[in-house]
Amino acid sequence: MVTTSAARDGCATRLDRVDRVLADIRSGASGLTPQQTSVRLAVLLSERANLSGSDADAYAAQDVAAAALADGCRHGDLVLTAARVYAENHDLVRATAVLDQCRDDESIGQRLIRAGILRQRGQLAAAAVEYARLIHVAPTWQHLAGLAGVYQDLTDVETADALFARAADDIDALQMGAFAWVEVQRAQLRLGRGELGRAHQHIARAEIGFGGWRACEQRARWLVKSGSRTEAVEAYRRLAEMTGRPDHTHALADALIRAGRPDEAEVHHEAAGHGYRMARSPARYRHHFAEFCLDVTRDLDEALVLAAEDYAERPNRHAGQLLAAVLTARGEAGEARLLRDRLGCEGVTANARLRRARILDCLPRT
Amino acid sequence: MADHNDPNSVNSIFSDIDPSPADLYDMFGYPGPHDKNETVVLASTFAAVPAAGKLDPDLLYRMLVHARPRSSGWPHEIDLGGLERYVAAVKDHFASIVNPGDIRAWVDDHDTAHLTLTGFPGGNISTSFPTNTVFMISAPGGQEIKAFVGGRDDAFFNDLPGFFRSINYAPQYYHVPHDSPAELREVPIPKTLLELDGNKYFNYDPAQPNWGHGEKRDLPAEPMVWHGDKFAKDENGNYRLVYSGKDAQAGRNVNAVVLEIPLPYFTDDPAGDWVVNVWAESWVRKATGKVPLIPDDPAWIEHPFRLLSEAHRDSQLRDYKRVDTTAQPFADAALNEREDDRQVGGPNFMLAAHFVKRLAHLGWGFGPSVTALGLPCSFDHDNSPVSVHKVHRSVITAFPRVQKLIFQELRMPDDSWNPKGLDIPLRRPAEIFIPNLCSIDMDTTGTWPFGRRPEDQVATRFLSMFLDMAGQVGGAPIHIETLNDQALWESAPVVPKTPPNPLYNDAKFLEEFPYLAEPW
Repeated sequence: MVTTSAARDGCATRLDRVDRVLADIRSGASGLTPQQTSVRLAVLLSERANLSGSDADAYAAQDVAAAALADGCRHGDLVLTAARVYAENHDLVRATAVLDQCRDDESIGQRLIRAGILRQRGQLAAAAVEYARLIHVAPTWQHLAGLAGVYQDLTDVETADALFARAADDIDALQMGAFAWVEVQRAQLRLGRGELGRAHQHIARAEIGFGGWRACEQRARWLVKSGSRTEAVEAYRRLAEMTGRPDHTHALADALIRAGRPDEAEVHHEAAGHGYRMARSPARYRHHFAEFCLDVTRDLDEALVLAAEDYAERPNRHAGQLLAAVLTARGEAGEARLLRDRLGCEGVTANARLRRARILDCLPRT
Repeated sequence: MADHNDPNSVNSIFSDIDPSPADLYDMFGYPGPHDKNETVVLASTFAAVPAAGKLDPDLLYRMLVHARPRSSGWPHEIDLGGLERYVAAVKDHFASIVNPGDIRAWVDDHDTAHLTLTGFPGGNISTSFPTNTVFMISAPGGQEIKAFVGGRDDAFFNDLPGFFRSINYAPQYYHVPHDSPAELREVPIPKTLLELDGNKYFNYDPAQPNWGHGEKRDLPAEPMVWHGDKFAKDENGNYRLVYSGKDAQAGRNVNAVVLEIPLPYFTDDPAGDWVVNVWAESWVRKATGKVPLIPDDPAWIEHPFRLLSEAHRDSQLRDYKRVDTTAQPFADAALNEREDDRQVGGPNFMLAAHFVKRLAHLGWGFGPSVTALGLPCSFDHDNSPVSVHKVHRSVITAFPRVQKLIFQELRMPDDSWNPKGLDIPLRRPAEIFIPNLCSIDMDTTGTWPFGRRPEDQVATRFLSMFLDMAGQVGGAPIHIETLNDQALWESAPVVPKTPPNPLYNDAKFLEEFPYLAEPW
């Protein structure tokens, strides 16, 4: 398994604790039943994957959860973990199937994952309504951040940021990983608008508060945007070493090219391409792989297949824009324009529906 | 469990929640032992996380204190209107308290405890001292205050699994995630003090004697329900008590804030303000409080209403959020159902209607058990031969059932609680739980419900509310210690022949401050 950097930041400390608990459970000293052992392993491996960013951890969690589900276990934690892992791998069909198996389809955790699936599928108004309902049940940071994500998808930066700020205010010192995640989202919002100073503040808060690969990734993006190309290469190198993921290796190679070091980039591009092809879950990196085919190998046929599959599974704005870019590169400008128009119309419609529903006006005051 | 394992968000009884230092356990409060200087002992205990004697620097522990004159007894009618008027008066009383005295304790990364006392007539205090040591503080008014912040033995002694078995509380017996629906917490099987015939989901299983005592089972695939019509009896015709009498907290530690403070520090009128009210709170530092602030953060600009709340007016609390509150034993665990949004501290008057309905729900479970044991019951269960699972949606239907229960004076076993022989009215459940305060009467020993002493077996005293205090057992009047009487259980048709909960703590309490025993 891949570990995070040797620095004892909050992420590394938490990772150590997860590893200790995992070791206890694997040793059999914890006195759990076999079924409960599977549940706890799945939960902890999922947390480990979240902390390490490693594919190996994510697949380990997925394997344990899948095996327990196949054995008939329907424990709430297991169902949530399995569904969450599948959803994070963009395997929305399996995520939904797991949730549908559970007798309790009204739990907060399940509703939260279903709202996230709606969001990935581009059904933003429906996702927003469900997040708003969850906020009325409990105005927790997860629910507020979920709604913020919808507004982020709608490119309503100020609303998204205000909701993320409320989410951050709900997080306590025992949940610094969650806090860092929210700060990274806020940094991304600001970076998207070219507000480098503001983005830097959020990244610094994520680094000070918890550290970990997400903060490192966002720092690398910030360095690219700020024109610090050499530093960006080093940040991406650290990131790729932390997680071993092909999308991070891909980003490192791109950074090397931007830094005028294409010879060094080649080996990393090759490694990234290999990683994409060998990925166990095809959906996990499909959009990255499509970008890779579009920008690096210029294999536009493969790019089209991948982007179209991704958009079919997750017809959201990002997947649509990637497909439109592939179509444009293939000279199919008319198709691309139609798709962009549709994405624009859908965004306008979703925005109008959310305004009519007065989602923000009706949120409870926290 | 006075307040162990709640609220749900920090309730480590759930399979997916780690023990939390924000989980408050108990609030003890009673007059100090030294007659010459009238002092008040206040002790707030909480989860020993990260370890006994090692406190989490991200936590802030608070006690809110207010001294007042003793009331002269229940001032209203003994009916629903009287209860409404009482609740309205409680609300007015809290509105009239501008700033209750505020005690705060927290530690830093170097195991130094920091303590502030503000808003008291005796003057403001801010001091620091090493954890796990007794520290003497001289108040501006000259009073000597004793303080301790650190690890201790858990002063609560109780058959926790027995209590949870009585309310069919699944997380004690099954691996239940925190996120599970309510029916997977308190399973919709009648609550009961005696095992129900055929209740395979919660009855004692001799094949797994440690079930519920650290061992849990996986949740069954089918919904947990019970369709029986009688209590279980063994071959000798004995019922089986859901309690074992064993101390589930034996050998466990807590962290604690303990203070002994002269009464004149709390009030300008020590001759008149003879009751000291206190409740405890835990606050956890916000994540935003651990990193540099972004000054023009829209959260602060766009939500000016926050400035109205106490937490945002106060420069220290601004960086924290309140997690748990405690005062009366069982107010949270039994009456609030550990709901996170019912952690309101002392001013809980908004929960009065819920309490009536909840006590009626408990009464339908416990009442028939009490009657089956041959004891007079304070709850009107229509002579039901077995416990009933009934949820009241309306106060109107619930109130007549619980009227006697909530208004009856809780009789004391003898006069030792009132050493000066004063005319002190006995307390009633309605005024014990609303407001949710540890209300220390300085003319008494401070034994529950006139405060709370560590040696009080409050779990069993709580159950005594379901006894008719006007009745008798074996020719003797019923009182709050009746269920702690071994003789009662010897003669009752029940096994095991033991009071529900242990009579003594596993470690002897100390004669001197900080009174709670050394940690294990």
